[in-house]
Order: sequence, then structure tokens, then C-alpha cells
Amino acid sequence: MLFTSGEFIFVYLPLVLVTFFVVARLLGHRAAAFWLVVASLAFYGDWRWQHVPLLVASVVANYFFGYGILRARAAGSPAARRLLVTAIAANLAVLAYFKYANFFVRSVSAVSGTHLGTFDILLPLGISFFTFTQIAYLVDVHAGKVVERNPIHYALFVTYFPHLIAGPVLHHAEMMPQFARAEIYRAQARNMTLGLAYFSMGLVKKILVADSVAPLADAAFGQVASTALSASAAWLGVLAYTLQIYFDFSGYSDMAIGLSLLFGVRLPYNFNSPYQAHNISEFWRRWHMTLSRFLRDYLYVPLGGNRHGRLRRYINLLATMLLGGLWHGASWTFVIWGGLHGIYLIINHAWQWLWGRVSPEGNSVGPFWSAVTRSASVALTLLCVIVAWTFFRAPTFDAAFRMVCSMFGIGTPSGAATAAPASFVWITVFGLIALMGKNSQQLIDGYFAGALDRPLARGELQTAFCGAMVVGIFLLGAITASRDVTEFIYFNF
Amino acid sequence: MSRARPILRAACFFAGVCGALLLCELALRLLPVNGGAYTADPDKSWPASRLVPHSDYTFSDGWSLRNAHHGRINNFGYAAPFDYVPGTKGVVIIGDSFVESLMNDYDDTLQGVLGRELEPENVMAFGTVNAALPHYLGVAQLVRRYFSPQWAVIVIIAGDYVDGFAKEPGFYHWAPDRTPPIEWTPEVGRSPTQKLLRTVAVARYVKANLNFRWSRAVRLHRETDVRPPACVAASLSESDERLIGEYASALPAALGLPASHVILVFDSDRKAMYAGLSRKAAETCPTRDVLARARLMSIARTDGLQVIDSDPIFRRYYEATGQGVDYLPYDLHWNATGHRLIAEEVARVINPTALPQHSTTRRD
Repeated sequence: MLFTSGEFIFVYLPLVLVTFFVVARLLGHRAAAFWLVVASLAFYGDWRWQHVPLLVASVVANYFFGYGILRARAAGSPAARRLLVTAIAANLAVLAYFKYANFFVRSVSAVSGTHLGTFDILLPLGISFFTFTQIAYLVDVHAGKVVERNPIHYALFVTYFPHLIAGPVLHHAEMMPQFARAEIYRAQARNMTLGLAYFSMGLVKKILVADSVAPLADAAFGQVASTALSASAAWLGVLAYTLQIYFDFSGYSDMAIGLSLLFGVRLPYNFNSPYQAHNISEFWRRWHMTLSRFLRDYLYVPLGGNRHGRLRRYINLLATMLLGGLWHGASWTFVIWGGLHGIYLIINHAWQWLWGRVSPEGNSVGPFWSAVTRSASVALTLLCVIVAWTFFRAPTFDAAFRMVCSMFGIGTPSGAATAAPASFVWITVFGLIALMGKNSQQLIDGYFAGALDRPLARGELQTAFCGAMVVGIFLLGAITASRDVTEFIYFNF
Repeated sequence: MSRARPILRAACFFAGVCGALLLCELALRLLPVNGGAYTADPDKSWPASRLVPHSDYTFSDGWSLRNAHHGRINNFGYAAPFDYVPGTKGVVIIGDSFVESLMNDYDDTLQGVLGRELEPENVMAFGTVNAALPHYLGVAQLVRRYFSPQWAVIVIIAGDYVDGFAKEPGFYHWAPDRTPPIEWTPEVGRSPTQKLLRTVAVARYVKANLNFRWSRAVRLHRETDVRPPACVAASLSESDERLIGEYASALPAALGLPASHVILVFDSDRKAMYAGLSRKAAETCPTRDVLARARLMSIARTDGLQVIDSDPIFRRYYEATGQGVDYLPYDLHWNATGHRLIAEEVARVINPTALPQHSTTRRD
């Protein structure tokens, strides 16, 4: 079930939301939390019910692994570490089987020149998300950072439908304590209004923007597999994809945040205007922020981070990004995408180190030149990101390489079709919004929440806002129901 | 206080809903939302489904209101910028939404282009959304009652045979035991509420632009097997064969024309054309409707009716220019180019010199 589908907007969400508050009032908080677990499993099973047992088994096994680690740790037993290693290995083995087995077989076939048969495996949705979420939990249990062990809250933390399929990647410490709070089991107009505002914003991003530019990207990346494109056609396709993936994924994240707020639970922000970043490090602090945080805390830092000299730091950065790329999908194009970002990060850190030595006190230029250099750094960062997206989107390495060549006019035949100038109109409009506009949290948690909190808007007026937002969501739902439902890009990861 | 609070909240919620609806209504009233082309109330003098006469319409497609067009519904309830004058001699064009063609300017339609070649008011189009083969025959009978056609063009598209079995109010459907093999289902009047909703822009947007249906909106999008279903080629029954044969001979009779003055225009599988599939490759697993239309084409040729097969015409154009003849992927209907290409073929068949100029019998 997709957040943008009619069945979700008109049936699932109202049913689950109303029942949650009714159950909480009549049967208590524990029953309401349990209802949310059941509803989340139903949400997951709507795609492929055969994968529900896998999810349930994963949740149960990891809960007991965590319980075992906690007990062993409390007893000071070395079994705690052995149990942690076993649990992580088991999680990674399941992930490797479902996600990477065929990738491994195909790679071996390609290298050895043999033709090994592939496995008939269907990738369970969201397996990367719920596996890494739980590995982080186990690591923190071992580190003594976990205090709450309520099994229903744990199950809800993993299966909670707003984040289950495509994140944000949650940390138990920011979720499980929220499920223990009594306030979330009472409907609150302010949360509802803000939640509906986030959900509407996400729908607009997905339905009106991402889905509108997607055909341009699909056409260009479909064509480049067989024919060379003109520079304008290549740029049109790549820019369309750059906007599509941002509005698609940040739209999904907004919807997830909004849906969760309806239940009174705050999810972390996942995007912060990433295309406005001045350098690639800043980009990764703004793009898929919860994944960046996970990679930093559970991969980069354990690898040694920046604690063992510059060279080791660069190696750690590259390794983290390569694995981050592989996390996105079992394909070499994702590995190359991750590798490119690793190289960008190394160059960025090396440049900052070098600049710090050349100009230790910083340079003091006038406001004009300061604006110019800031704009140039944004443009350069964006260019690097765009080139990397080409590898992320292209079906094969060859197609990606051809696309990059076409973008820079290399090897383009003279008769190659050019893109119609009119096609760039919406790309420009959406591009300016991404580059200069305020993001969802600035608009909703900043301006809108501020307006709601003014004395005049408190109380019943917030309920009126809720009513207005329901109309907006109905119209957006009707729009999405009028078209073929398109999946979110990050559902594939 | 405690009892009043939920009521106050509900009232505020309702006020919010109304306020938002009002804002949407005001915004949509400024935009080209679909409207105006509404089915007329039953009329014994013209029992076939038609639009409200003497009204203006706005057409736009989808949520983004793309391809907006405005036009007029004439005295007979069909889209045309002029009234049809009973007794007019000339060319009649009968079909469904392809002939109604609200998504094109009138001048760009088959009838508009032909009208420029001949005399605009001598070309009269009778297109009705959702019409099928039996309805075309029924309309042909009505046309002969009011006009004096010299040529008739019938535009036949995919689904026209099998859709003809549905009994829809205001439409003719197949009746194999009758001669000619059609029967009419009486039109029903629209309720005052339905008529009131026609004036509400939000309702028109949701119903006509978004084509919103609860049943469609809440359908399940479960992961399905992407493999195409195994081919089960259809075949025509004896009854189908008889129906098609009777239809081909009934058309000229209904119009009071010699068979050679009835032109059947067959639409083609344009999705297959754009996908680079040959006609033969696209028809490896023909449906009953595909077979029926092919059979009609074959019988029509044998019976002396004129047949225009759009497939080679559209393919030639697409191969030469790379340009489409329709609004795909959003809308299957022909665009101005598609209409022009067909109009040129029709004009070639008709031979304009044989048509009378200014032969309209005008009423005072």
C-alpha cells in the first residue's frame, strides 16, 4: 500500500487512526500500541503477505537477541559480545541472501566468464531499513545505551508503518520513549493539523512535482541505453531525475513525518534543502539525514573515523560511502555512486585541510565576492551530485557513462535530437524551488506552527485548520487515484 | 461545557471543510475545468443521447487541466459552432468521442477540415461519448429523418463491437433478433441535485477531470505478477458473423445512400505503432472485438462500402516525421494531425467536385 494510493488515504489511514484513539480510550495504551503493530503488519502484508513472517521473525529474534545481550552484559559475561556478533551476522546473512545473493552470483559469472544460475528471490520491501534499524538497536544494547525493553514498543519501533518501507532510519532512543508517553494516545488538534500539513506537503511533492518530471527522466535514461543523446536532451533527463529523486524521497519523508504526527509521534527530519549545500560534506548532512547519521555512528566511527590520521580517515570515508552505495541496491552502479561520493568527500576534506594551511585565518573578501564564491560552491557541489545521480539512475554502467559523455557533448552525433526548450520550463521552476525555497520543516514547523501557536489560532481554530487540510488531502488523493499509482524511488532499496 | 465542546469542535471542523471547499471553488472557477458538455434530458424528437443544446462547453484533460478547449453545443445537441439546418444536404459524420472531438478546436477536427474543403455548414458531425456500432446505426436513422445526406462517414474505433452489447440509457445496443439488429434504451432525466452539481466547479473537477470513482479510488494495488496473461485467442460466433453482415447492409439503407457513399474509417492500434510493433505482431492474440472489426472491414469492402484503414496512413506519417497523431500517453484521441490525415483521405474518396455548393435548404 502506498501513501499516495486511494486505498491508503480513504480507507487504511482513517480506519487505523480512529481505531487507535478509540482503543486507547476504551482498552488502554498497551492495546492501542498493539493495534498499531497489527495495523503496521497489515500495511506491510498488503504488498506481499508471504514476507510478513520474515518481518515478524526478524522482530522477535532481534528482541530476544537484545534481551540475551542485556542479561549477559548485566552478568558481566563475555557471552554478550558473542551474542552480539551472532545476531549481527544473522541479520546480515538474511539481508545478504535476499538482497545480494543474485548480485554476487552475477558478479562471479561476469568475472569468471561462466554462466551460473541465479536464485528465484523476491526482495522483501524495506528489508534494508528494518535490518539496519535493528542492528543499531543490538549494538546500543551491548553498549548499555538501551533502557526501555517493552516488547510491544520494540515491535512498534521496528514495524511502525510510517517509516517501515523507506525510512526515515529510526533510532530506538528517539522512538521507544515516545511510545511510552501518555499524550500520544489522545488526539490533539495541533499535532493533527501539523501532521496533515506535512502529509499534504509530501503529497504535493510526490504527485505534482516528482511524478510530473519522472517521464522526462525515464525517457532520457530509456533512450540513452540504445542511442546517443544531444547535450540538451541528456541534461534535461539528468536534471529531471535530480529533481524527481529529491521531491520523491523528501515527499515520502514528509508524508512519513506527517502520518506519524497524526499519532502524536515525532519522526526525525530526513532532508534539509540538500541542493542548497555549499560542499559535499554539508550535502550529506542535509540529504537522507537519518541514513547519514546511521552510517556515521555505526560504520564510519567504528571503522576508526578520523581518529587515526588523515589517510585512514580518507579510507574510512571511502569504505563508508562504498558500503552506503551498496546498501541502496545490489548493483555496481550503486557502488560507483557511493564511490564517487566517497571521492568527493575525500577531495572536500583534503581541500579544507589544504586551505586551512594556506590561509589559516580565513580570507576576508567583500560581500560581493563572498556571495560569488558561495554560489560557485553550491553550483560545484550540485554538479558533482548530478553526475553521481547519473550512475544511481542508469540501468547499466555503459548507459551512465554514455549519459555523462552526452551531457558534456562528448561523442554526440550531429543529428541527435535536442530537447524542446519548453521542457525546461518546469525543470527551471522546480529547480529554483529546490535551490532557493524554504523546506518543509521551515514552512510547517517554522511559519505554520508559529501561526497556530498564536493566541487567536489556538483551540478550536486548529480544528478548523484540520477540516481544511482534510479537504486538501481528499483532492490530492482524488488526483492520485485518477492516475496510475507510481511507487516511491526509495521503495527499491 | 463538557457537552458543548465536542459540538463546537465538530462545528469548527465543518467550518474548516466548508472554507477550504469555498476557496477551491473560487480557484477552480478561474481555471478551465471541464464543464458544459452535459447530457440533455430525454427528447422524443431525437431519442439518441445528446448534449444540452445551445450551451457552451469547456474541455480540459486530467488534474492539470491540460489541452483546454472551449466550444459550443448547437441546436441538435452536438459540438459545432453552427446550428444544423434540417433538410441540409451534404456529409454526415457519425461516431463517438473521436467525432465529438472536444479535445480539439472545431477547425482542426475531421468535420472542420472537410468543411473547409466543401462548405462548413454542409458537414455535420454526430459524435457521442461512449457510443458504439449499434448507436451509429441508430443515429444514421435519425439523421436521415432530418437531413439529406449525400455522403456518410462512420468512424469506428477499438471496442465498438463488444461495447455495443451494453444497454445504456439513450444509446442503441445490439439486438440480434431485430431488423435492423439494434434496439434503443430510453434516456433518463438527471435529478435536480445532479444538475445543481454541474454548476459546482469542485464537483466538475473531481468527477470530469479526475474521473473520480470511489470504487476505483479504493481498489487495492497489490503486487501482481508482471507476466502477461497467456494468450487465449478469441473467435467470432455464428451470431457475431450474422450481426456484422446485417450491420454492413443496414447502414446504407438507414442513411438512404448507395453503399459507395458510405465511408467506414477504422482507427488503428497506435500504441503498437509507437512501440515499433508491426500490425501483424500487434495482432498475434486478437480479441473478439478486433476480429469483429476486421470482419466488418472485409464485409464492407465486399458490399461496396468505402473503407479507410487508418493504420497505413498513421504509420506512414509517424515513420516520416516521428510525430504522433494523438494525445498519448494521456489521451488516446486523435490530435489535429490525426484528424487532418483522415480528412484528407475522406476528401479523396468524396471528390469535392461532385458535391453541391451552397445547397442548404434554409428554414425561415
